[in-house]
Amino acid sequence: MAAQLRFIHAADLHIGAPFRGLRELSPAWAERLVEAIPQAYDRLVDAALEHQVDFVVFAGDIFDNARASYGDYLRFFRGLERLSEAGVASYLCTGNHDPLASWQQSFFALPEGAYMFSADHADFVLHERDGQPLCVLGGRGYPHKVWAYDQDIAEGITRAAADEALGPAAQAAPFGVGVLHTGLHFDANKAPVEVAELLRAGFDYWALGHIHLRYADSDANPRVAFSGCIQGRDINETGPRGVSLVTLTEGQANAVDFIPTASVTWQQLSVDVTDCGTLAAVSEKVMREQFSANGKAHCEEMISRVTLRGATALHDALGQPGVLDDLRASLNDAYADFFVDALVDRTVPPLDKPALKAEGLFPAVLMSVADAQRQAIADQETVLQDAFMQAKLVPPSFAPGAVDGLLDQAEDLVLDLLVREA
Amino acid sequence: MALDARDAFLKYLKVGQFGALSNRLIGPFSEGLNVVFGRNEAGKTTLFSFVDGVLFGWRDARGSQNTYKPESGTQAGALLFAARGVATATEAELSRARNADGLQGDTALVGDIDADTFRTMFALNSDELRSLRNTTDVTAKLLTAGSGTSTTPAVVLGEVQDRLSAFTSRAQGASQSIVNLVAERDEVRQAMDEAAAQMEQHRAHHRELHDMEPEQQAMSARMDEANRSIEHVQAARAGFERLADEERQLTAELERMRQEEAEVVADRARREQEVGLKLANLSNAEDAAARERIDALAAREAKREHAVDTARSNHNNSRAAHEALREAMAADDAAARVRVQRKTKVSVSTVLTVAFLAMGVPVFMYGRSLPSLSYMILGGALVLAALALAGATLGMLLRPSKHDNAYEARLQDAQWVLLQDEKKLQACEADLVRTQAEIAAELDAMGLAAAGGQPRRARVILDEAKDARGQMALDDQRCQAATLRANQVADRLEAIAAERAHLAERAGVAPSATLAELDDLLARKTRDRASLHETADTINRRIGELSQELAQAQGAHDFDRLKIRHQELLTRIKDAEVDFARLTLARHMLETAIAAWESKSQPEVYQQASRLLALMTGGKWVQVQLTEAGALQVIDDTRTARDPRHLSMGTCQQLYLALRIALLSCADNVGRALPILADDMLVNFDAERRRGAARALAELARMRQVVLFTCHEEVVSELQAADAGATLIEL
Repeated sequence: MAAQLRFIHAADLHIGAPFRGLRELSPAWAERLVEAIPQAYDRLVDAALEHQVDFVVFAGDIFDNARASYGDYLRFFRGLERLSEAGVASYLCTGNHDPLASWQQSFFALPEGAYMFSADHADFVLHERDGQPLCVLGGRGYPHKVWAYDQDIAEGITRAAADEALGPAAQAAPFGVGVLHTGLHFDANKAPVEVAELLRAGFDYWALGHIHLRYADSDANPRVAFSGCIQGRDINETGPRGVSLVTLTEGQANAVDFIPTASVTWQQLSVDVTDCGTLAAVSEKVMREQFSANGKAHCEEMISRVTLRGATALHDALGQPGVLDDLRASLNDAYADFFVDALVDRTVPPLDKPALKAEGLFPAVLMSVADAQRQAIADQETVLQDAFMQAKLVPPSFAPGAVDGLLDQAEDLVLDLLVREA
Repeated sequence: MALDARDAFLKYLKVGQFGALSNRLIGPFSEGLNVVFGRNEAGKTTLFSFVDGVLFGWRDARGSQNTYKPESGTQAGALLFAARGVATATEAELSRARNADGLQGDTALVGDIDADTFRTMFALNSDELRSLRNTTDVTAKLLTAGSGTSTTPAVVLGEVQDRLSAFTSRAQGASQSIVNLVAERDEVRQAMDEAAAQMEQHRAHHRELHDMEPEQQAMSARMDEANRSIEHVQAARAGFERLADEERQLTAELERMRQEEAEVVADRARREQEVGLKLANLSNAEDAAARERIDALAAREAKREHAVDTARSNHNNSRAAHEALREAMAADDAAARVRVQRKTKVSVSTVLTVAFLAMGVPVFMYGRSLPSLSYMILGGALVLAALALAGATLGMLLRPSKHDNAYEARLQDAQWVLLQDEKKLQACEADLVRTQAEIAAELDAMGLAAAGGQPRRARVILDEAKDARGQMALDDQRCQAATLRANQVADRLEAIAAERAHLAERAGVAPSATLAELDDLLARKTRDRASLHETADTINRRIGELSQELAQAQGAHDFDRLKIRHQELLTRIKDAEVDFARLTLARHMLETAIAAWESKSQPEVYQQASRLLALMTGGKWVQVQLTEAGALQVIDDTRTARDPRHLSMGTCQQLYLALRIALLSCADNVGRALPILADDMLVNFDAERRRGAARALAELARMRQVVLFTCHEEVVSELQAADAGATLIEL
């Protein structure tokens, strides 16, 4: 009867971190988001209890730079207590957002059965089931926010070192699991490590944290994996978020199953309203896009930033003061689980640009000026810098290529203003 | 195949119903200059309005304007277009029946010309030119009218500028203002920092609370301990007091008991001594035996005494008898009396016998004769009785001699008896003495020497001894009781001592502690407990404070809300910065374009306009230009600049006509298919100026179709002179 080990691999909880990129939440949704990460954490604990796992691994970034509120702080420890009461151990390591230094005041709150890997050296612990050695765990956390670039965080975390450190009992353990918070080969600034090095270490599975997307080095037999974060927090963290249920079986390939824990998903929607004749049609189309986007996500609730695009005669109507706000309000009233955080109008009036150009009047001049400016982006950037400084504002940094987009939008804006009914 | 606007020109006006006209086909017009000549009321203005109506809808009845509505039905008509340079029939049509149905046909021909632009640029009449005169923002109107834009660049620039300034405004309501947003963001950041600091404090308090719990428990234990200790001391004190009393009592009692014991022992000894050891220890059986013995002895003695008494009494009797006899001899009367008595008795008896016999024999005989048994028996009985009596009498008679002999015998007997009795008496007395001696000896042996040989006294002594024994037994009992009690008391005293020791141990004092010491100790411990209580109170209060604070903090979401607000502000700031950047680029683009426009296109327009104006005014006015402020200016041949308001109406109209023509020439793509309609526009021009205007119009006609309606022949001739190929249509 081959031995089997089941555990939950979770990471990057970021309890206390706010959602980013929001613009204008309603009070109800603000409350909803305040609860989102703690709820995802509760789901994690529920899943661990439901699947009766042997232990739970938290691979770093449990808390965030932005301190958690006291309630959430307690909730985390309460979750660990629930696990402990049910006999499920938990193994934690710290990450760059919650280095060991920040945990000093909280060690006392860790319940029985919760083990925190140390941060200044490779640390090992033996997990037993019914008194029999079951799994050797090796890991290490972040001592401070920044990891020295010339140090290897995975150094010394090997099965051999574990056996030596833990004694003969450890050698009988059929499984070995490594726990690290690292950028692997994705993020060179955060304790990067080679996959090959990890594969050589002699562990059956590496539970990693830091990268918020799910990843496994191989689908057939995943041995190095990121579980991803438990709840996406900004427009770039769409897609399924949750934890991994890892099943290690002696003599067989590792099995990693996905357990979703997120309750809110983020989407950026770009809706082409060229063929919409009325505002109601626009609203309907946006709703359809929302449903279509949500269908691919794993969450019922969705916050979206909707950008209306296309050349439509409704452009003027949309430009009226209050129209977009009303449209957004009516969209938000339509379906309680979807919330449009920002409705941006990037439609353009149906202009015949070549015709305008051919006319040779002011619009044509404007357009040729725009073309000329497009060739000399650096000057535009200087113009922007000067304008911000003159207005006594801090000039923001724009991504390369962003200024081109802004130029196009500026051109459309001016043309729109020129063409709009006075 | 749809006709391209650039290739089309108006060929016919097909009036269905319009005003006074109905079912009229006006045309064919040519591609260039056309003159429609008609007298007054021929329908020139009607046609002029007709084109407008077809293109942009029949006018509603509004005020005093003429809607050209026919008496029956509605207006209806069409514009027929043909292709330039191609000698074919009409190829496109724009028609309108009811307003509601809109413009039918090749609406593309209208292009992007709206009603306003058309009425300003394409449908010219004196009114139109005159109405321009009322605004100084001619630039706006003209550029609006000719550029395909509704708003002048300058106005747009102003708007862009306004929008930009909204981003730097410090006004309260400016929600876009980056300045405001940044200030709010900083406020929120500060609040967040405070909240974070508070959160740290909560964590520290959480820790403190956690650490305080064992302290609280320890304090609680100590309080319990103190309470217990005080209770013990109090118990000890009360116990000591109580025990001391009891002890006192008991000690006294013990003394008494011991005393009594001693007394009793002494009594007993005394009694014993009094009574004699042997007697003192006599058992009941022995006592009873002794009594029996004594009784026996007493009985023996009594018997002997009795014997002695009897003997004595016999002796006395016999002596008495003897003496009596001796005395009796002397006294015969006793004997005489007896004799008499005897005689009496004999006589009586004889009588009776005879009586009975006398009676009896007859009766018996009678009875025998009868025969009655009863009389026989009775008679027999009487006879027998008589016999009996006879016998008795005989007896009595026979006896007297005995009396005298007997008397002597008696005397001798009496002496013999007396002697016997004397001997007997002596014997009995000797017996008695011997018996008494035996008794005395036995009594002595029994320890009753004090009885002196007297059984009675012995009995008394036994009784006394018994009493004494009884007393002694009582004494013994008393002694036992006293001893028992003394032991009890002693035990109790020991118990008291043990209890005291126990209480003292519990209270932590020496058993010998005084009440005063205990009181002191109690006072001290109570003070200590009070201060312990205070400390415990402080701890409990602190725990209560912390618990409440943390319980409240658990439910507080302020920090989270601040974080959300912070992110919202960051997003808004970023969006605002992007908007600001966009508007900045827009402004820059606009400014550059305006500059370019002014340096390129506008000069072209103004150059043209200047030339046309010079042409129309015969060189009086040579230049039309825009001031830096964007206002129109005309320069005369003396290089004097004048504002258009200062021009005469005619010159003004010429100016605006020149500008229009210049614009229409430059913007040769605008409303390509539509003709320029002029409704008797040159009425205010004098002959010279008219000639100039005609030449200008002819120039325009080279690029665009022009249709001029007039009722003046001079105008017709001027136009024909200016353009030989002008088409004349007479109404």
